[in-house]
Amino acid sequence: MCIDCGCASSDNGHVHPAHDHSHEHDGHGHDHGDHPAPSGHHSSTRRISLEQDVLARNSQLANENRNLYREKRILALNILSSPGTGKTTLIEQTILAFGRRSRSGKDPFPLAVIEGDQATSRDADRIRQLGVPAIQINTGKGCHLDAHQIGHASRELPLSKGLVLIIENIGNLVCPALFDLGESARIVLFSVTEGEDKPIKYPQMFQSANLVLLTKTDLLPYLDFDREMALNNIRAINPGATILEISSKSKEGMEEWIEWICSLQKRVCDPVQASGA
Amino acid sequence: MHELSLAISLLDLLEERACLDAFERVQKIILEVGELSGVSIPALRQGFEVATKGTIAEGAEMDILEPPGTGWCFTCEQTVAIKDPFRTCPGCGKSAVTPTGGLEFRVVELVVS
Repeated sequence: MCIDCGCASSDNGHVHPAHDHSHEHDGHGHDHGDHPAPSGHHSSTRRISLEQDVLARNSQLANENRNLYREKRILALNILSSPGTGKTTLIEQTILAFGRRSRSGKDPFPLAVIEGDQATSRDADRIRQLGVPAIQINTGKGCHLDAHQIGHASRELPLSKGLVLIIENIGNLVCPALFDLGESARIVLFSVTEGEDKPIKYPQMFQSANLVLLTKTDLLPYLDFDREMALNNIRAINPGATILEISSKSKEGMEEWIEWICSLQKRVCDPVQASGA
Repeated sequence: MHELSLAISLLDLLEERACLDAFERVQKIILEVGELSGVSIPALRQGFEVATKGTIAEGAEMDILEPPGTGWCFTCEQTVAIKDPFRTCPGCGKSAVTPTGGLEFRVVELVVS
């Protein structure tokens, strides 16, 4: 069976019985020389040297997305976090803030959203109510969005120049870190209702972030959250990441967040002008 | 938990190769899973067994090479051995180490028929 090219490769003809021996290695490496090639085992058995990354297919599709965004001059933001940090609420407040910004006479930004959840279209419905195009991806059993899904969803959206495409990933701090979607930047949310040590417990996610947003900061007076320790933990894992503190409720930090998006949007969507030419 | 997704990605790769290289069964896969790759080998084996039921790779043997973790310390100006990609340098204990080796997750070779 071959999904990609539709060829009729099947298991007819000689089928080898499954080799049913387990083969555990206790953390030691060994070179191929330890294993004689099973030539002569069967006349048609052969070795194929590959040296291919397992996630190469996703990376290739992610690069196609990246090329599409570059060609169309689109800023794609991948928003990641554990469940319940306020991703959707932040996106709603971001849409409203961009609305206020354009009403105050600044250049309007076209926005679009891709929502990833295991089930339901609740989040996309929330976004559409604000007048912004949104596509819902339901991953079912999947625990992350992949580049293939994002490629299809992107093509269903109006991809106008200067678009800020916000991708809300599945609430999960492990799997989505491994899957490049072709995004321009990764934004990881970390709420003050979580433990200060989240960044060091889930280092891969925090290490991949371009921006870390410490969210729900309006709750700080009511919590024992050690803000300084949390910030230090982010810096220890990812010294290069920008850190902003934000509350979707009190709007504190919202202006800095919008500025961060605007300056990145200029660099990505209008690179010549942004470089001062 | 992501090992099942990784096992499915691995199966996708094998099915693609089956077309390109015209084989019908995968008997053995030689993989490199680096010490710092974040992939749990027991979970990957289990995920692969589930993902490959009824496919060209059902029952395939998996040989896993585990390249050791290494990183560059900017303070010591040398490569150091690390077990964890996000820790400070074991030599100076000061600066964070940039991982340089042991991040692999790839198929090195297949035995097919």
